[in-house]
Amino acid sequence: MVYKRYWILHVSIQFNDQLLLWGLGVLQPAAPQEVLSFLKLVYPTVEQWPDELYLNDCFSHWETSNYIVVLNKKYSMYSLTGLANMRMDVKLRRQRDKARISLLRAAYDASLRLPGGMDQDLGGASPSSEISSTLQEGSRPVGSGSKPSRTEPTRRGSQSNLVLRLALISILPVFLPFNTAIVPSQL
Amino acid sequence: MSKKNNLKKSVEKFANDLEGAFENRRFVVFLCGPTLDLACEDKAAALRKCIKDELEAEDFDVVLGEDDGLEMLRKKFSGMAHDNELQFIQAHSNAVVLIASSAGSFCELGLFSHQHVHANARRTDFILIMDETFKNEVSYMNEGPAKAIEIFGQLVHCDFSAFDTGALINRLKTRRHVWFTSGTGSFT
Repeated sequence: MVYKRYWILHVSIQFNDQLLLWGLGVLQPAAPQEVLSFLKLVYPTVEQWPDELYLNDCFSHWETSNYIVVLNKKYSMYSLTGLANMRMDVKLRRQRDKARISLLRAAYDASLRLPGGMDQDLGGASPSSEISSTLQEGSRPVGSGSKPSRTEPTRRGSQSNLVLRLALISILPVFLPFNTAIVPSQL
Repeated sequence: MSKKNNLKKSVEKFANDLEGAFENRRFVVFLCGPTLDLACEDKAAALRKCIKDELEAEDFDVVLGEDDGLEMLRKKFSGMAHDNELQFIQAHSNAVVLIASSAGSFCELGLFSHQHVHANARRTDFILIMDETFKNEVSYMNEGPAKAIEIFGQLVHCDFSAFDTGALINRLKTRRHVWFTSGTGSFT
């Protein structure tokens, strides 16, 4: 259709998949619906979002293209690969890391307030739990692997994710249960 | 403020941080209202020109409709203005900004608001700017098209000469992170 003085066809309204990739990079490992819920929090004034079908197609395509790997089939939890890193430009990768560190810091602060509720169970032998280790080692972002095989979360990675999920579970309307945080035994 | 709200606020700041990554996305704004030829004598037309200039300064693609050749094309292709505009919005517009002040813009409001709610799956944002003097009137316009946009977009009542363009620009800049127009075509 010619409308203005001239213009060329082959343009259309599209959802920004890079944003979805960024969201997964911040939360990883995460399910598609969790990423969408997170993006809705980041953009509260945007009311229109892709539907579940689009999300699943997108994640399925990324998995086929080796941009992401599935870490937990039961809960459709995905993580980025090194190829996905290459797909994001430097600015986006930087913001992903910044956001992830910011959330982990908030989660860490929140975990420091937890002892009031946790003290009841801390008697006896020192725990080897995820939270205990996280407090000792501090919270660090999980880097994406340069190859899909490297995206398996390290123990520290799973600990960070556990703390991150603890913080986000209070503000995200859609979030998988607390005990679905990825640990190596579930892979 | 609770810790939960603090966390929410910090998450919302991520949108600002992402501006640098997505500011170059192509975003087409269909800007409706009184003709720019009246910008020197009509407050609504002056506002339309102001919004156009500010959007273009932020690298938005602004399409004006009749001011950009619609009449010429209508004569050439025998098309109807409202059909052309509907097709354009459906396929290419990321946002419609409508300053309801002239007869033509009221016609557009009725047509576009219906399409916005029922036909385009609301992938397009819709911002309606109306004169504040009509705000509390019980009328067909307020109870129909304006209410539809209030629910499925944004309705702003204002004095046309004192409209805050900053909030509108920020809303569209944020939206550009999520939805954009792909392709290499040129509208100008």
